[in-house]
Amino acid sequence: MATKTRIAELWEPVSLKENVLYQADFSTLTVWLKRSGEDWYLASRRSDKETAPGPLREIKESRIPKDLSFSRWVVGGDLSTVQFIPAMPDRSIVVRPAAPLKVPANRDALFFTSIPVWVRVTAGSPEDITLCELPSLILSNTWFGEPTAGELCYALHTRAVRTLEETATHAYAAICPITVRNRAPKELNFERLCVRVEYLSVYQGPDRLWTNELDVRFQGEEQSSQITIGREAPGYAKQLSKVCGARQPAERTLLKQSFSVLRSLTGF
Amino acid sequence: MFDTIWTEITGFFTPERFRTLVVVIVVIVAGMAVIKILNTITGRVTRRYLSQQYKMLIRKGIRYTGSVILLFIVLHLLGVKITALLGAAGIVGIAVGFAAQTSMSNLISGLFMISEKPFEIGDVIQVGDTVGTVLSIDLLSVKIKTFDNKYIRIPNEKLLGSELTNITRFPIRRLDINLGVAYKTDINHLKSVLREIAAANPYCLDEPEPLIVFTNFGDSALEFLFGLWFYKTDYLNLKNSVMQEIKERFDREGIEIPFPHLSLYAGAVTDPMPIRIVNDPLSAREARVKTIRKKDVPDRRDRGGSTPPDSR
Repeated sequence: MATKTRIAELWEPVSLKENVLYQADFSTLTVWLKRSGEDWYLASRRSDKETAPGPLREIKESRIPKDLSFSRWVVGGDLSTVQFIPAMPDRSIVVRPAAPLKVPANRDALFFTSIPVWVRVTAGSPEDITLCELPSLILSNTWFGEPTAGELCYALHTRAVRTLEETATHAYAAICPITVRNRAPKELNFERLCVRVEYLSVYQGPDRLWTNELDVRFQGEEQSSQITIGREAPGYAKQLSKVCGARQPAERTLLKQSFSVLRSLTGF
Repeated sequence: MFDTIWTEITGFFTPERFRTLVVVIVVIVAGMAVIKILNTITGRVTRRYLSQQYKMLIRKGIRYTGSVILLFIVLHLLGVKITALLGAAGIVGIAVGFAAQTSMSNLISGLFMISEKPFEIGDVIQVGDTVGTVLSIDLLSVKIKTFDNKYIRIPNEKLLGSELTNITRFPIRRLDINLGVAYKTDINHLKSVLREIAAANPYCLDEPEPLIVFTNFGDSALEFLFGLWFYKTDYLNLKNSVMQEIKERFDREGIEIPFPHLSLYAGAVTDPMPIRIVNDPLSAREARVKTIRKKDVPDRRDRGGSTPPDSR
């Protein structure tokens, strides 16, 4: 129940009192915010370890790190409400299961993957001015494709769990249901899957964040996969409301290279 | 005096000549406008399909060809015989060709290079010791801007004849770090520490995987190559962060980075020069006393009463 409360509180709009310092915690990210007249002051810092989510709350100035540097935003005197919005990362994510998965020909498999969201700081509610976007968790860069031509993505190691009960509940990670359909004549040896998160919206439920459902149809190694993005909120939870739209205009079906087998690129 | 000049001017500008002059001016203005319009249309049409280099070449081609055609039209209007002019131009061309061999060589090298396309505007290239971003690729030379903001012109002939490295041709690169660790180091532990350093650094690409190669039994260290892949714009971010992380992590893990030690031998048959570290406080005090006494003794130069160098 405590988690439910935290999720709702973490992403809710908050009216800022003037000249009062506030703090919010998201995974490894801590954000400080202050409204002073027409100007807003914003600072952030990262820690090495993940912390429990902490909704925006008042904090004494004496309790913040002394070497914190604030950036100043001229927002205007008419706005006093801040809202943190969970957004998808700005690049595709290469999901790598802890152990390689094999999907036999003509079989389907459903996985749930937790994607750490980016925190979009907006002044006004609903979002009037976007001040900045900060990743709740810094993901490592990775390369998807050939070294001469490919795509820069974020790397995400996942357990690729098969049931919803196994997924961890985080206030700052969105669950993405992915159905992999192997329509190739041979088994799919799935070591990495490129999830095009720029086409996904974020939905808020009572206890978790969600993204649209993804349906990836594998048609062979040499062919692009057909990706279908669910138009509505996923059907695995009730009372979902859309809190952030997709970065790219939603296309119903995409044809993209999605799977990649591990290749040795480290020739000496 | 002024009357004479005025009479000559009015005599020169007969109505026919005045008409020709007006026509020439109109032709020049219209011709230049046509060249500009052609350049704009070509630029818009080729914007999506051609590289900056080719677009620049086409623009210059249109401008120069158009200008030459315009010049011939104007000369024709003025009554100059172009056939004779072309003949003279041929002879002059041969003479100029001999005089401008280097320029011609650069020009031809430039054409070869444009067709070969080893780099584009915006690429970072290295020629000899010069590294910089390509600003323009012209028929005679390539202009680059170094990272310390110097403008360098490299003749095309030199570029074609020397080894050229295009640093940013491919989107990802590898940063190779040569590491030396003490002989006592557990190699498996070292490898796992290096893998953890690479995994924790956000600029280091997860894929392709970092390269760890045991390269050599060095004079004073076990030598390793630590190769980290990165996106081409993250070079400085990665290098600055990972070097510091290696040092800090090695210090924490007790992995020693040795430095070369030099032992002096007086000869093949003798033992190495004996060096003994003395911790005995009495010996240390004696050594201090000896040092003080040595200081108290006047220098040989002072005792000899020779003239100080300044007074000479």
